[in-house]
Amino acid sequence: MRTLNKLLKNPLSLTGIILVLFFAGVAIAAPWLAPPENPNEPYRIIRCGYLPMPQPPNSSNPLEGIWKIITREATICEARPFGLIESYDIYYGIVWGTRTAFFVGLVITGLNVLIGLIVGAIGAYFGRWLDELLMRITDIFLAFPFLVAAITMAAVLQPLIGRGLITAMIALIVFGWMSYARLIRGDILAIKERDYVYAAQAIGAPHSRILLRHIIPNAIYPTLVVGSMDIGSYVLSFAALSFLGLGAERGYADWGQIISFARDWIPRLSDYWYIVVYPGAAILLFVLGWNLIGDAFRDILDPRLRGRV
Amino acid sequence: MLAYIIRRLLLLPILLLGVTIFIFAFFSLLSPEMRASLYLTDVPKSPDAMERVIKKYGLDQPIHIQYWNWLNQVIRGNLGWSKTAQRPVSEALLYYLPATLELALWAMLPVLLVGIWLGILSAVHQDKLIDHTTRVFALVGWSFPTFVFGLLMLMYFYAKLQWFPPGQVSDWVTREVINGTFIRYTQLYTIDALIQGRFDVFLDSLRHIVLPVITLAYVQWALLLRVTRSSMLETLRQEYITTARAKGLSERVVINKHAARNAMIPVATIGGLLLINLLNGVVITETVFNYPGIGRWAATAAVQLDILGVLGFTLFNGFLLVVGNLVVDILYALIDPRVRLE
Amino acid sequence: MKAVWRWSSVALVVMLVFGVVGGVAQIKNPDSYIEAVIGDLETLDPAWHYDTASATAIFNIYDTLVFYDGEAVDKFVPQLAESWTVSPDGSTYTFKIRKGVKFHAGGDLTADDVAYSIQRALLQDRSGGPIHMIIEPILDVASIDELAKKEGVGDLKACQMVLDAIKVTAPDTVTIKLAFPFGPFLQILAGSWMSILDKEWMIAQGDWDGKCDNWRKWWDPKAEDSKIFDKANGTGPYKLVKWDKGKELILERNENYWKGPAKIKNYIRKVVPEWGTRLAIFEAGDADSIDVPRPFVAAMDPLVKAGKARMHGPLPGPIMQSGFINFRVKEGSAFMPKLGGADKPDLLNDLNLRRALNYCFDTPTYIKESWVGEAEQIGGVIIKGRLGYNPDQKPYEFSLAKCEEELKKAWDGKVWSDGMRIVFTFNQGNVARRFAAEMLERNLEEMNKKRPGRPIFSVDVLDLPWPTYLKAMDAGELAVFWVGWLEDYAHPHNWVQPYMYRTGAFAIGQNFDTTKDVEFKPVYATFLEAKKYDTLQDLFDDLVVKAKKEPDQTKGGRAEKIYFELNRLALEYAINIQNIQLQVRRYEQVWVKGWFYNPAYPGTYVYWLSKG
Repeated sequence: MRTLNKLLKNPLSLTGIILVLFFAGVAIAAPWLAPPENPNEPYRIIRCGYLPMPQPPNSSNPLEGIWKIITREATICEARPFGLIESYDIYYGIVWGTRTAFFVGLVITGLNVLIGLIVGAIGAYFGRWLDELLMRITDIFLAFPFLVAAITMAAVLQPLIGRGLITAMIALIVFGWMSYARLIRGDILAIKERDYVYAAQAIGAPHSRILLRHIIPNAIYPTLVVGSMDIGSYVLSFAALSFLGLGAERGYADWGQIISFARDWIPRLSDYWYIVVYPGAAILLFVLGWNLIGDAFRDILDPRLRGRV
Repeated sequence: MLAYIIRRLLLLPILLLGVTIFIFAFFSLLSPEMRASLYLTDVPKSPDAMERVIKKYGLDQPIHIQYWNWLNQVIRGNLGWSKTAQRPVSEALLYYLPATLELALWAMLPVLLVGIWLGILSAVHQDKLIDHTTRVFALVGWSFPTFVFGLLMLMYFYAKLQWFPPGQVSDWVTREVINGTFIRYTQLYTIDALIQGRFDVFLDSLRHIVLPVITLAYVQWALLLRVTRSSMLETLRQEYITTARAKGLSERVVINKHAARNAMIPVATIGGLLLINLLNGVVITETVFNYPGIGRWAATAAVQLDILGVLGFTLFNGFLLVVGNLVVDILYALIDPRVRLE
Repeated sequence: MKAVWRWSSVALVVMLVFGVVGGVAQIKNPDSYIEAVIGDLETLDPAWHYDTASATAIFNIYDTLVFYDGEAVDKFVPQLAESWTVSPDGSTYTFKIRKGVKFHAGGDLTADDVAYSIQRALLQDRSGGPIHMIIEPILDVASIDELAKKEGVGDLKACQMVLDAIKVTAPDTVTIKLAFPFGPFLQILAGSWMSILDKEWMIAQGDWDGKCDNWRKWWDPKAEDSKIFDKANGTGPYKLVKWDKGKELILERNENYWKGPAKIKNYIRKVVPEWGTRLAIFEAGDADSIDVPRPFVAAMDPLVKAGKARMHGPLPGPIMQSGFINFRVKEGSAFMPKLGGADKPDLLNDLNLRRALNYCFDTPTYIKESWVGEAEQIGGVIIKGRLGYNPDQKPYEFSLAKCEEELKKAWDGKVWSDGMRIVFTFNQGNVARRFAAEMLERNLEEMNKKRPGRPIFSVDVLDLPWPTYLKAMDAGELAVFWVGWLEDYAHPHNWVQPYMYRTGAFAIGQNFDTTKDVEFKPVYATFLEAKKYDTLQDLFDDLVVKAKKEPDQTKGGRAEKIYFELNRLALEYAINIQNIQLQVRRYEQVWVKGWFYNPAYPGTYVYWLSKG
């Protein structure tokens, strides 16, 4: 509770919270804000024609267009408040891309934390050869350069299971859990020598109970801090993978993909400013929001985090 | 100390073995026809092309045989031929590394200087407007997709103003290298230019390096700023600072002479990690600025399933990581007497 | 101390400014022709290469026996052959070799070099390479390995047959004996694969020694194992200075070129895969021409309007894009077609269904939006400008009404009543092909509205990463796939062979033998007899072979009539979905002079160009 209070008082973290809540609102309201063409495939960005070059928005005030869509006065293709890139409607992509961003960020981070937790906690708690083994395995995964490893994995998985969200997510999870494992292990090593742990062991409590009830809840905070900052970073990793042709399927509502379309039109940015500004702003504000929250969180828990990268 | 170093280094071969086995096993998930796509880049025009390519490159042999053959060659120092680099893997590493190294080293300058300066500034004025502004500034850099930033800079500063071109050096410099009037001792143009007293070459390579360096640096500032800031904050709370202030020393002296110096300890050790970070993070920057570095090659090799290239790069990276981490840990122990190596 | 710093920084700024201001000149790099291209070469070995990037470099470095006459693709002028004669039956070519020509490294051109170069190519025959085109007319096999493995032949004899077919028969004279008269032979000789090498120099590099005892040592090498992978010694207008792999290729004028030296001293090809960067380089004037992928022509047009660039075109390209239909999909394929919910591997063996796919394809819109109007529908498989192109052969028009009609007839009405599923595939990253597939998908799924209550027509459009695409194509697993074909040489055989012949690049994945008991009644080639064939493939094969061996390859002649038949059949049996010939554009700086269009050139022939 104290923590929450502190978060709200700090203007930076407050901004972060507002941003994230805003995006959460957009994600929840997506079917209403941008009605899909085919209700079974809402993540397929609506296509308006087949011209390859970007098309500008139909009116100079995007809010006008958005309002028309919400009130069902105009179709998405007619209003095109943010313009078209490769004939995909940018507004639609951004609205539904919000859901993708949350999904991707939360799931990947969640699984990374879970895997890291299991590996780190077991190693740290039981110690000796188990710890050594798990740490060596962690080292092996750490020896891979993150981006190149994710790219390799996605490139190999693509021919096997097709290009898509899942492929890219698997690639990012397989190479993302290691820092959490290390972090948690370090924290648990510190905690397991505490009195209340000895006490619990003395009365014969089972290991699982000790781990779950006593150790992990106390060790988890730094992990949550790092996790919250990483949520945003996975959206960026997705953009990087899309840039290299390995992200979500073409036409899928994912901000990284939308902005990667923009790469070839940047030479004429003065004409096509909207293809960068809108998706770029979405990514920037989303990631920034999470970063601000995480940063402030880190500030509050400062003493325990010095030296952790 | 020596025993510690040896123990750490012993892990290296085990690590590399584990890493390469993982990669091989992973690639073995692909069928031989899929792996042949590296060599057949267009629709096969004769019916036996696919079969012959598979046989020629041994793509249908059992995976453990392929691994064994590869390992055998590696022990003899032959890392194989990288199709994407069009040269032997070992040569590719030597060829691409200097460009990335040059980029990373030059990027360290603004990263460290600006990052540390902003970090100290932030910490000293904690929770005031300056603090918030610099933190947001750094976080924006971290939150922006690198290639968008890079391309925007390229469009403005090159296409429009023609100040900073893409690539590594201009054509006339390449000519000089071919003619032998400019020698690449270290393969780093800036250093070689200084060694030979060629100010013109130095300037030219600087001109080409400015934009990628700024792009790289902007992303790393957030990291450095955060560490410096929190370290500085921690230091400022220490008793000896209070004592210094009580003794009547000016704030400037307190900060610069006492606080900053001690706050730099964790920062110095991150320096090593930062370099490794940079070496890994150059993939997109090198692609956008057409810089012939190792990140771009590694990404290309990965995308085109050039397994030998990927293996070579991963071996190199693994080696760098183990040795790098070791150096950093030793430095940490040397600088901070409170730390003891287990 | 501080003053030194201040003055140094001023000096630095001044130098930077001068460097910058100096750079904004009139014609940049006046003695170099610089291209910024998407991809690097694969090799400099003429017999090994098959990609256009390598071909462009090679045809600037080497000469061939004959060359194209200006803009023509079917008229030839002497190059290293001073003159030549063809025997009356069309199967023996005799070339008189030009005297006084020197190689870049100093050697003299002799008839021995010519014979060696062609023999070496046939004996190298690398897998996936270009030699299958040349060895076919000379020895009537698909590969040298096939010849060596034939009953009673063996390695030694196979090599001797090669040396026999291409011989020095008199001083400065080389004779090539073909297995059958072959219309496109001169076109093939003009191709970069038939570049002439210096035998003595090659042997000095460690390449084939010209003898038959161990030619296998140099057979089917990996790219990097060829002795001239990154070396070059030709007679051409430019010589190799440096190939910085992955980065750039630098060529320099051959001052002793037998036709007289080129006007531009240096030819530099820079590899810049990123479009944005290429455009930036062009705008800065640091490249004289760049690769412009089709979707980005809109970015170049303002430059043309402002007088900062010149555009040539649209010009008819030697490229066609088609949808290919597999008459029988392999068992277990992930792209298996379905009829009424059940797997039906031969779903597309129905002519009505194939016609429906053609009628439902909105070609006009596709051409207008995907190709900015710069493409043409072709009725048949031979592009405009080639012998055998029949302007009276009208392709399928876009008509939803006719599409519906055909769908109702397909599989005796079962398609209309029970629904179906088809999977369209193409190679990832190709925007135009994706449009094609999605357009057709849309129109087919629109048909569902006309048949409410029935199981739907379901179309899946999949863009596959290249490794998957390649594997599936090789295994015959694709159902409908879009691919493009870039001509190897300018002759109709290079169209009908891949599109219709049993071992052709595309036909091999289409299984025309699924259509049985085919009757052939000639319409144009009335000298052929009407016949019944076991399968459609047999019919195609017979006609393709007859056409290629036909000695009369003139306009209005017999070969042309046979090609007319092939076109007609391709259209009547709807073996493709809309063949579209693409037009190309070329963008260059306004100071570049002398460029003209010859579709047979793989790239820029810098010898003709000048700057200023």
